[in-house]
Amino acid sequence: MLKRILAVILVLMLVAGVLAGCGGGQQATEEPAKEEQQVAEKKDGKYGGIFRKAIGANPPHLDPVHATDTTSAMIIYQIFETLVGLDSEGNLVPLLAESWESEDGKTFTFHLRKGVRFHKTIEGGTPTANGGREVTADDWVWTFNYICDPETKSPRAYFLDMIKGYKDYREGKVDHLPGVRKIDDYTLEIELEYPYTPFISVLAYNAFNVLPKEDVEKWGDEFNFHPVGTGPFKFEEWVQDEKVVLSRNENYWMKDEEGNQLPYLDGIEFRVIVDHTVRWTEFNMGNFDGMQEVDDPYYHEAKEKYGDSFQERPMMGTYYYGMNVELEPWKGNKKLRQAMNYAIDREAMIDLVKNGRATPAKGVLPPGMFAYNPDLKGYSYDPEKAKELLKEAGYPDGINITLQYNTSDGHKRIAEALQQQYKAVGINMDIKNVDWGAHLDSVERSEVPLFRMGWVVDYPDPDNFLYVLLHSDNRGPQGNYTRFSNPKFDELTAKARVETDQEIRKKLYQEAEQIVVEEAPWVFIYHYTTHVLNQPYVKGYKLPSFGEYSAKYTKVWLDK
Amino acid sequence: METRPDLQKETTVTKTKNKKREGRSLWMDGWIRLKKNKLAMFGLYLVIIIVLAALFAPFITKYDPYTQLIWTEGRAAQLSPPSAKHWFGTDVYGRDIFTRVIYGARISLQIGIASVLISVLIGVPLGAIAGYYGGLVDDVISWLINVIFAFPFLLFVLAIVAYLPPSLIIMYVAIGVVNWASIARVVRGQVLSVKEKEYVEAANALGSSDFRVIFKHILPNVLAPVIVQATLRVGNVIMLEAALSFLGFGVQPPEPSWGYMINQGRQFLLAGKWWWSVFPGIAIMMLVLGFNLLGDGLRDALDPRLKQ
Repeated sequence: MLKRILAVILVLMLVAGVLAGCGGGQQATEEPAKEEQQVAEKKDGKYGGIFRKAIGANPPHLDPVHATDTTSAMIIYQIFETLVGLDSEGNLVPLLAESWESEDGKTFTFHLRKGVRFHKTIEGGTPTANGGREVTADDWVWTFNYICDPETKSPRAYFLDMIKGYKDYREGKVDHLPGVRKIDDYTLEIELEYPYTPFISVLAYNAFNVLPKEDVEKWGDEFNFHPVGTGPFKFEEWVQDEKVVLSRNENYWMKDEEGNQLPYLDGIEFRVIVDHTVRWTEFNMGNFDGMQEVDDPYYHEAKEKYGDSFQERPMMGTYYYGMNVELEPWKGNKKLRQAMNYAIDREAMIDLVKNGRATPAKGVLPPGMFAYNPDLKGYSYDPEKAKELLKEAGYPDGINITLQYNTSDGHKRIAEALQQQYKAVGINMDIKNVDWGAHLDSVERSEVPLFRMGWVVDYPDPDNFLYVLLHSDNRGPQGNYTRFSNPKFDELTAKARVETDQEIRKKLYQEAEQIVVEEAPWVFIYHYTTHVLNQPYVKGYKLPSFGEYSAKYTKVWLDK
Repeated sequence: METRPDLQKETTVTKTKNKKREGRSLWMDGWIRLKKNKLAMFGLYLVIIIVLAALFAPFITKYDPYTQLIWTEGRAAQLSPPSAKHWFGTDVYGRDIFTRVIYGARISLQIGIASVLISVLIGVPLGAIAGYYGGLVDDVISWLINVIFAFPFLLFVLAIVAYLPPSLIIMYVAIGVVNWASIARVVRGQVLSVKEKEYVEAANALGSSDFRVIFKHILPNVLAPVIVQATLRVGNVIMLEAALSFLGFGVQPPEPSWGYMINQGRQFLLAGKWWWSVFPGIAIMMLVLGFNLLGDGLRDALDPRLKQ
């Protein structure tokens, strides 16, 4: 009997193998045909060409309503569009709204751009359900209702919780979101519960794109695999863990300075290559026009070899070690926390371990952020002072602590360097790695005294850092992982939320940040930089300060 | 037989030779056979050299395995290739790789020997009890052995190590606890055959306790295969520790574990900085090869029947 079963299993395995082999064969025969097609396409000035980009991970989502990560966002930015956008310097610019105004910071009126159309066809010419119709205020009203609908389960809906009636709508007390209204076909009004100045910035977040009702309803959950938007590129194909292919949207609304139709590219192919080394090698062979993440070991070579087409710039994000102020030994021991900050040589670590690809952090807010304070009184490398503070903190003979971080070669490299510096002042730091899910989980449950963490901006306003990460209302999973609580700080950041005068807000935030630095719930380590590597013939690419992932390929062209 | 006088002669010759010679123990016999085995002696020398290097590490190198030279010497000390100053080069923190490889031998040897000792301490008594008593006791213990064998070895250790805080002691115990089954199985098989021997029957007839029979009469006679098995296990365990450390679950930084060094260096391998991974890799290969050759040689030496 057993033998019989074994035989059956073996036969099944053989059949599966043969079938898989056939599948592979078919794919192989398809590939050359496509390449021929690409070669046949003629280039005309700036027009033409497929941009081949190597990326580090398969995007988890292409449905913007469900995406929370940067890999997904990178592709979503090409297919979908928001009301307002960000230019490469991080300034708010009109996108699908041509202009907007607000008297009181509470009610916003958006004047929508005319002539914006949803994609007419996707996936090799298949007509979409919307038929390529124009976007009107009705679509925006429907979209905001859809995103905030609890049934939709959007993990980013809470970013919009200041919209009037959000809570009632979530709880099912009303059947629509009363705060979002259509005035006429090209005018949209959004009313908030309270004045909230960063609101416009929130709208630029990559989850809040206009969606075609017909296609979303047609596909349901499958919309993730057949995304339809208004962006410069249309969805063509997604082979899981291999590639995402986009093609040019011929009906795109934007024109360049000379009145030529955008985008220039015929399409974009995002190819998933997880291993840093393989990605770097393939890029060098000319198999890609652009690549994500040049790892530290290849950094110098890349810089030398590619010069200006290796672009780098600061990015709004902060890398820190959090000290849970409710757990020993940090509890009520400000001096010990300050000693942690004085003991490390940020400049040398960044220079030697990170190839200089970061800015030392003096405080919470990254450079380039509104209210960033260049005169902030931060910590410098002062091992003597660290030793002294350690003594005053009650640890004259040194202290043993354990850092928990999520498994990654980069984090490990940094931790091992800082470990040595801490040891020099008498702080013995053991390091322990756990996977990202378990790490975040235990940090959110406030179980870890010392942990690595980083924060990259969602919307370019200090509110996204100071309020979210350090206000006592947000202790725990909402973002305040160190459980920092300071009444004065709470008051300042809460006040800045509803204040509309930018000068006053700036002062409030700077004062609040100085309190955090003094109280030191974090070891402030560095502010991120972002970078991209393109081939020298790639033109029109501007590396956004918001991060490489947020680049749009609308004006990119290939000069070859 | 009587028609073959030459044969008769030969046996008498050996007999007279034996009479002249002093009594030689099994161990002495084994040692002589081992010495004749060139491969096994090569293994033994490899192990001895590495053990000596580990013991006298501070006298062999002037560097400290933890000191990161980049903070004082700057970029010049970072990832510098092998030279007269740094024989195996330095890593990204400017630590001397030669020093770290030597100190790393301490960790590998410690884990290899300590965890095999633990598995011997568990495996030998359990195997002996199973073999001697048979019946239900044997069934239960054999069942346990099979359960352990059925587990994917690496995964089982990973589960233990991931759950408990990482430390050397926990590594010994985790590996030892999983590793005893193969030793228990060998001992059980040996005891099964030895317990039928006349001297055991004699001891029983004299009224010796079970404890005395097992430990005094049976165990000394199954020791040889245990030693062989243990030596071979040491090599396996060193590989296992390297694998765990490579995956980040083993010895934690800044301890100079070979597996961990290979993993860190791997990222720089294609950037031309080969020395960070290659030297610890060679060290693992040498030590494991040493133990395996020695183990094979011991088996041949202590159990000549097996070879025939």
